[in-house]
Amino acid sequence: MKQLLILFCLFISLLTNAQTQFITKGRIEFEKKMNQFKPFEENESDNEWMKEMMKSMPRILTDVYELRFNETKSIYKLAKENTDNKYMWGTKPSETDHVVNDLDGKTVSAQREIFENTYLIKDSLRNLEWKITSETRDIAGFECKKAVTKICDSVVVVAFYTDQISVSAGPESFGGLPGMILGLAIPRLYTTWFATKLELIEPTPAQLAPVQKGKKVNWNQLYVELKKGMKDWGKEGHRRIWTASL
Amino acid sequence: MYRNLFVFLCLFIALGNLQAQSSSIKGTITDTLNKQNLSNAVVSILRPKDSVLVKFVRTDIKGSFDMKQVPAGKYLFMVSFPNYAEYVDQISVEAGADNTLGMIPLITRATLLQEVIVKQRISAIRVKGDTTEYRADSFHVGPNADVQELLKKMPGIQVNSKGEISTQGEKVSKILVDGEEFFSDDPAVVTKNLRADAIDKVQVFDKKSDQAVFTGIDDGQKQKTINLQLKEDKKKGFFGKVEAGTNFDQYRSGKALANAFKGKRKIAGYISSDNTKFETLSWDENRNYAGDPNTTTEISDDGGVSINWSGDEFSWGQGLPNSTTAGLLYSNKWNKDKHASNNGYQYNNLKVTGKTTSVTENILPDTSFTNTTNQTQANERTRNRINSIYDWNIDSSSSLKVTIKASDTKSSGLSNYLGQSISSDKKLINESDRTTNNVDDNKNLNSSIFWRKKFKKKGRTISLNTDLGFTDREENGFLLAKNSFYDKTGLLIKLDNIDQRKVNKQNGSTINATASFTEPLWKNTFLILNYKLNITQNDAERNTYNKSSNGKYDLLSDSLSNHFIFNTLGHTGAFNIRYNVKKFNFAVGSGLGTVNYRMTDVRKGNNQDVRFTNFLPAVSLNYTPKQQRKVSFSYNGSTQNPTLTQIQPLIDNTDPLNITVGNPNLKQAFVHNLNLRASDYKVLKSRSIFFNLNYTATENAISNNSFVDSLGRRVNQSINVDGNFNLRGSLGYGFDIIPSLNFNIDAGPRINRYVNYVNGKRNETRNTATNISVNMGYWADKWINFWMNFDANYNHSVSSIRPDIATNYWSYTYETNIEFRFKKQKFYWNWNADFNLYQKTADFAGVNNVYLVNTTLRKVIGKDDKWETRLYVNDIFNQNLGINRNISSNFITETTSQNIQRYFMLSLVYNFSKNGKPSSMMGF
Repeated sequence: MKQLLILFCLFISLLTNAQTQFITKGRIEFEKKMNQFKPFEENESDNEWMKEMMKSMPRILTDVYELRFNETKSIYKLAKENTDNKYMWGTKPSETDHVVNDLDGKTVSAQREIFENTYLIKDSLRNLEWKITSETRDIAGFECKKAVTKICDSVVVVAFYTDQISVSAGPESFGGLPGMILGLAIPRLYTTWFATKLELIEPTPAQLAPVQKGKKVNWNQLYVELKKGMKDWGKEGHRRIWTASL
Repeated sequence: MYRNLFVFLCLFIALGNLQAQSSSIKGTITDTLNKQNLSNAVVSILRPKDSVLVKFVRTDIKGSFDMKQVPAGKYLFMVSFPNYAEYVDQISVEAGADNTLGMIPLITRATLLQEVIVKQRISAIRVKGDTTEYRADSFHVGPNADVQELLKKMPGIQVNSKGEISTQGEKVSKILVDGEEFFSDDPAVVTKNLRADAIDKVQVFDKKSDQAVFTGIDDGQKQKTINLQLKEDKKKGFFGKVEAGTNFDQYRSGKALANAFKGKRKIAGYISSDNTKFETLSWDENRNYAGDPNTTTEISDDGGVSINWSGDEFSWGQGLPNSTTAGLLYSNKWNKDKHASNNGYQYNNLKVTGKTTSVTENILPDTSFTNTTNQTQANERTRNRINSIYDWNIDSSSSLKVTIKASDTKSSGLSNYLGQSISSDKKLINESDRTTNNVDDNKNLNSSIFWRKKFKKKGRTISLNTDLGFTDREENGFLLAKNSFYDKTGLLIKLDNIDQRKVNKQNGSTINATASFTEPLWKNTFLILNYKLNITQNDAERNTYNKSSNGKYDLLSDSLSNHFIFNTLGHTGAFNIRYNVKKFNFAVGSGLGTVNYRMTDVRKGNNQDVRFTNFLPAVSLNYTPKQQRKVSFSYNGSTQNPTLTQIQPLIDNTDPLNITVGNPNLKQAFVHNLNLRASDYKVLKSRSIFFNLNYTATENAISNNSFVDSLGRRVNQSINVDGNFNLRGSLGYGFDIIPSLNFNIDAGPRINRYVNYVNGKRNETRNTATNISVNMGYWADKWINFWMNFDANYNHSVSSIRPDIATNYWSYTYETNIEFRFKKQKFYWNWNADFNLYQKTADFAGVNNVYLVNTTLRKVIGKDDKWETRLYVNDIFNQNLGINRNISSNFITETTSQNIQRYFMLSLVYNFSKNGKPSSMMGF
């Protein structure tokens, strides 16, 4: 309720004041939705194990993530475990996973649990070629522009960003746009992220600097290592590698 | 000095050049109307050919910007500010120059013309309204028409020349396919199914209305939307196969299978005839053509799938088989798969002939003797069976399943047993020659109804299950036996001649009802309540007739005839509390119940009642510290009731060397079962470690008290003993030697103590066995593919009545399968080896080793790989035998059965299909 009020006040101030308020810090809640059946329906529709499995699991997995940010740093992580969800083998989101984008130092450090391994990915901020379109849509009360890019050579990523939050960050390790990404969709992974609310709370230094552990790698080393481990996994392996590279 | 200066100069020039190639853009953004400079406006430059973002800056507090290091070239220059119209222009940045753009005016959107807004901000339009749904089939379009053409025909929907769609006077900004937006952006999906004839319904609605929620569409949007609901797959087709093989002599096999489908409706049938094996259909064939009547699938709470195959009496056996089977299957799903029905009929006929020899060593306190029996048998069984399953997912929270199974099995058999018992000093104790001839008709009907409902409150569920079963069995047989007993001097002291007819009738009914309720008590804690009711009735009438002087079997033998009615009534209530937190899972509970047995002797007119109280405590703890790492512990206690036949057996003289008497003082046994498991699996490294420990101890265990008389006859009685336990452990390790070549080893002990009484003396048999097993497999899709499994067991057994006789032996089994694939030539060569080795002992000194090797050569021929020829050689070394050695208390038995030995078979297979193929369990 309190947050709603904040949002409402924000709205009013936006509408009444020509001198628009720009947001430089806060906490955004994202709803991540994934259709976990789609890949199997398309590729393994004859697989009896899968058919049985699907009967007991939800088609759409919804998880809530949070992005805390200020002008120099952002951290993205799971906000709360969703105990209603039943995940396919090895796809349960980890509570300790997080992505920290250091916008000043232009570096990313992300902790990711992938099967038995915990990786600490340290690299420079990703330089993605964003194609800006004129299409817009409203997300969580913000007008967002659509931009499109590709990761891992061929995986299309659709992002919606708003000028009004002047921090170039977003869910997972995405960023680099002239504003905050409030919506993200990756058709090949049957996954979308949409912001549901924004709170104007400043992140504490402790929140922005989580305890990090794991095997130190960069994006490329992670890719090579996962590729080796999932050599015979076919399309499933591709999907898992893409997910790990977000 | 000069040199340094030169270097410096060069550097300076180089730097200058660098700077000359990129330049900066400067300017100020203002709201001309409000005469205000705009700070924080986004100024970006895009690549003109694909509008990829090259650079962006934000204006400072004064509204001015300075974009540095811009490479020379042409750009799209874009300025945006919330609630202002975007400013877009083409600019050309010259090398090395400061491009000053000066004042750039922005206009608020409110002042822009209406049409411009509409054009730019389609997504901002909001109109309230309900979902309009169009049924696609009601609008006739050409056979290859696309969706656009279909939409044009729909009243209220307009499609203009540019392909823009509007409805109710408004433009449609979004088209969903099956309620999903981004999932259909994928070209693979879009190109697949956007023909008009693939569309079932067209839904038009606004924003996230109730209807949108109802149809499962949740896109976070508030706009005019069209949803194209695709039709369910109406694919029509068939697949099947015909196979025939022969060795041009006595062996043959043949089968024909077909499956025709239309969408989700499936009609399948098969027929097979084979005199080389018991089970003629493979696993996949069973699924595709027979509807899998012996398989049940269960899904656990954590999403695991377990598939249970309950053995079918027609699919295994020892001896020489001749089997004929046929089946029909009809299954269908409808109304979005909410209803599913599966119906099958099966016919089985199996003729088996065979010879079995069993040698039993009986260890007695003062002596030991060996009994050898040679059995020759010929029998035939015929079964007709129907099964029908109906699944109804009533809604997302409740489901109903009805299962009906009925079968009628008729069998007839003729068996001859020739046996003799020889004492340790090689003297004949007894001899028996027995022939039985039986005709049996067994009818069964089982049905179950299962209903389950989940409530809105998370974790609250209720389920009800009712099983009803009926059996009706009639046996008609003859027993012709001659039993001779000798004393120590070899003198015949007793001779039994039996010539009897036996007529047994049995019919029974069972009701099992279970109600189960789960309720969340508080956060992470659930209560599970169960109630079970069990009612059974069994009416058994046995009549034995002796042959009278007129040659007819009409003299009723009172001592061997009886008529009993058994009734059981049981109630069990159980509660369980389960506590789940992130890595821990703890459950504790108990079942408590009573069971009443009543046996009515119809002929004598008396009743006997027995009543037991059941107690079933259970505790379990699971700990999952990491993905794929698990430790679990469980304890189960359970009461075990004696069966009525242990208390009051039915007198039977079929095997005169084994006589059973009852024990009315039998008490309930109580079994404690402890389990500890730990496992760790590294997925990326393909490494696994596991540890299992299982301990079972039984208080008041129901054991056997046997008296072996001087004639070698054994009289058995059930009694309660203490001290029985069973301990079993194993430790395993597996890893990839090279990718796809997996190696696993596990080893562990098995220790058990079994207490029984032999001729009034307490006997403790201690069995210690050690098992080592190694397996290896290479699964890559290469020219070679293999797996092997080796098992070694060391058995040691001593009975306390004769500590001087210890039985020690090794047994080994080795199985391997190697396939060579010559894919280009479409040629496959498969080797299968199955070795069974038993170390010889004093009592089992005959042929103990079987080396069974089979090989198959397979060649796929024809354009579409439709034909296949196969050459199969069974048992290359011609030594197949079924050998099984078993130690139980003071008996050690080895059974040797005749099996089919060497033969070759040449087969031809024809596969046919249209629009489909058989599904495979190993599909991934």
